Amino acid sequence: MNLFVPIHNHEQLEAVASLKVSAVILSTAFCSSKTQYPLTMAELSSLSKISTEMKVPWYLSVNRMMLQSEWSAFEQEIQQISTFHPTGFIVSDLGVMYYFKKNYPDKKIVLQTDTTITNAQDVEILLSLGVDIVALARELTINEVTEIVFRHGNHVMISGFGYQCMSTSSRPLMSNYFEYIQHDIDVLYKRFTLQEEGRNERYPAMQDTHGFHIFTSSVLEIFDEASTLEEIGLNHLLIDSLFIDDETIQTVIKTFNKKMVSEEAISEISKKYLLSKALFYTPTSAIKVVIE
Amino acid sequence: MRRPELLAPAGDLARLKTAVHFGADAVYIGGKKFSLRSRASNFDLNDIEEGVKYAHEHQAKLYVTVNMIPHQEDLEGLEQYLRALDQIGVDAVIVASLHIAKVARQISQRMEVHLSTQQSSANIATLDFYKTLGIDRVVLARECSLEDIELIVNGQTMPVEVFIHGGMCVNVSGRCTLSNYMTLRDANRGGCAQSCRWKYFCLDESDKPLHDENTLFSMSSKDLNATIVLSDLIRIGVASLKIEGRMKSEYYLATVVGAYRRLIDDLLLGKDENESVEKCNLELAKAENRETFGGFFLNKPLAEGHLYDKNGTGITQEFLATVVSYDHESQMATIEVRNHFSKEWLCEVFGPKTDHIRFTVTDIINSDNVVTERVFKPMEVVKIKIPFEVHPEDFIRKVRI
Repeated sequence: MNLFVPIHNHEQLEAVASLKVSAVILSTAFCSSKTQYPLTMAELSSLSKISTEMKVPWYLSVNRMMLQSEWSAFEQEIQQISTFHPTGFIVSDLGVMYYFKKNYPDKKIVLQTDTTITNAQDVEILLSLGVDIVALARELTINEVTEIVFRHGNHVMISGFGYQCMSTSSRPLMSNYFEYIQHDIDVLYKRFTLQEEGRNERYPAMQDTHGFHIFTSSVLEIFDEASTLEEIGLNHLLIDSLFIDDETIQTVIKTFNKKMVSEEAISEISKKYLLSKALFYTPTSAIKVVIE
Repeated sequence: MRRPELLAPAGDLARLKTAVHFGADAVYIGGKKFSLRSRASNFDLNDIEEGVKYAHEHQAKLYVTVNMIPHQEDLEGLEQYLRALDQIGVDAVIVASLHIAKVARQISQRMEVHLSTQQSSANIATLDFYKTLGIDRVVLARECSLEDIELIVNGQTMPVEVFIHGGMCVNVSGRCTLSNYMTLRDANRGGCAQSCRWKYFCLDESDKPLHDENTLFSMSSKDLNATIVLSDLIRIGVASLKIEGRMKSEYYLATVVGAYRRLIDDLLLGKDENESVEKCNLELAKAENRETFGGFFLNKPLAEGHLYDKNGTGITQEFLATVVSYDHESQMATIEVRNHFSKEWLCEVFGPKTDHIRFTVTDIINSDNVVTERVFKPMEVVKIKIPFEVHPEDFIRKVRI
């Protein structure tokens, strides 16, 4: 199983490389969202160099909507980053994907929109247009994932672990709120928790320079399901490391790499995090379904 | 300046006719299948056929939303449905799935394929990409500023459509699954529970409360109102100006479509912009039930773009009846009642040919031909005296002072 893991410092890189991940994901403040630790160009240059020396492929995360008014700044940043020789790009904007295919045809493209890729036919179209790996929507059930993996397994990625992003707003929602209630609080890259007034679930959230993001109340874990899916061709897993400590991420990598049994890993991780299968066994529908 | 299309929503045939009557150049509706807004009163194929016929007879176009993000189980019958829409003569389908776009294009070269805002297109490269798939028009992301829109239009890839009025997703459209996780209702298949409008406690990393007890955290957005930038959107060359709200009432549509129709026409005629915009906003206020703001057009929305303490404001006027016919000699109008009203009420008539004229109700004759002081049965056809000419399908509303 190819594991893709976000990192942001040398120690993490060395740790995950020794555990045999297939690729690391690096982020910058301009290109990336949903990271607490965007890299400066100097840090990116240094980390990418070490990745290359260690023969660990690295991808740049360009996981946000790119507005036309930002396009020339985007091109300039990519031009500079391309001199660091990324293996590829993880993108969520189809225009960005199209631009990379046209201008950097030797780079791998992982398309990860979080939500919109929900059937095998859409995957087929994206693959035919040059996307190398398509990350499926996070809200799919295991049966739906299985059906797509049967047809395109080698080119499909799913999230195997971590808090799942539920929503992204381009508005600075947290600072807007604090401005409204006149609280002077620094919000950038900080973790907050939202709790709906009538419910117990607590949702982690964060604001970056591109907007505001809310995540699931529990951490997705599909150690056993991933093994089953691997048997029918699933090849790529994303490990969402946001708000997760390094030790846990290493346990997760070991477990997916079958160096640790899942029961032991779950027992260890669940001491720190509330684990769940997210919507893997809970279909959502177009209408409100009343369960008798 | 090129005349842009004014595109209005409709939840049923009556609202479709109202939108066309009040000046929409095109109307978009949802079918029974493959469409978002599951609670909207969607059209079956017979209704769509009647809608196409009505729209075309009135030189308007009809678009059908096929804009769900389909899971595997949803795709059954897609081709048959798209063929039926094509045969009926639908002018365009509005799609969000690449597969649906591809099938629609394969089925028909006549029927246009418009890409929904659910795909959040915000740059020229995205439009270039969709052009390779045979897309004819893209509905831009609501996050685009005027600058973004102008740059994209100047890119000349394909015509673009921009939302100008109505409800706004606070999150990036198509990229929000709050509803899925919180209520098991799939936002991208029409089940959105609007969890963004709920109230939330807000805590820091160490669980210390940060919220104000009287004003909890909410993402509830004010509605969009683009009147202040409408002349810019026309100057830029946006092909279609879209009003949101397939679930909105007939009265809301009449007011909002009528107001924007007048504003667009006034601006194209070179009338004073400030005056025209002010007039339009006065009219829009008569139908609003949520506060509005300028969206992303001029800057990224700050706190003024949200509703933290309340969910909206009351409308300033209310819908009473529609005009069926008018007898010049007796000055009696035959009207169809929607809400109760009484003698002595100050009312206002408005319509494409009737310019917001006020009158006080003096004489009412009910459906039993009996003179009465008040009417209260919805859909009852009664007669009232109106001392000036009114036209069939004009709307009558109460004036609140």
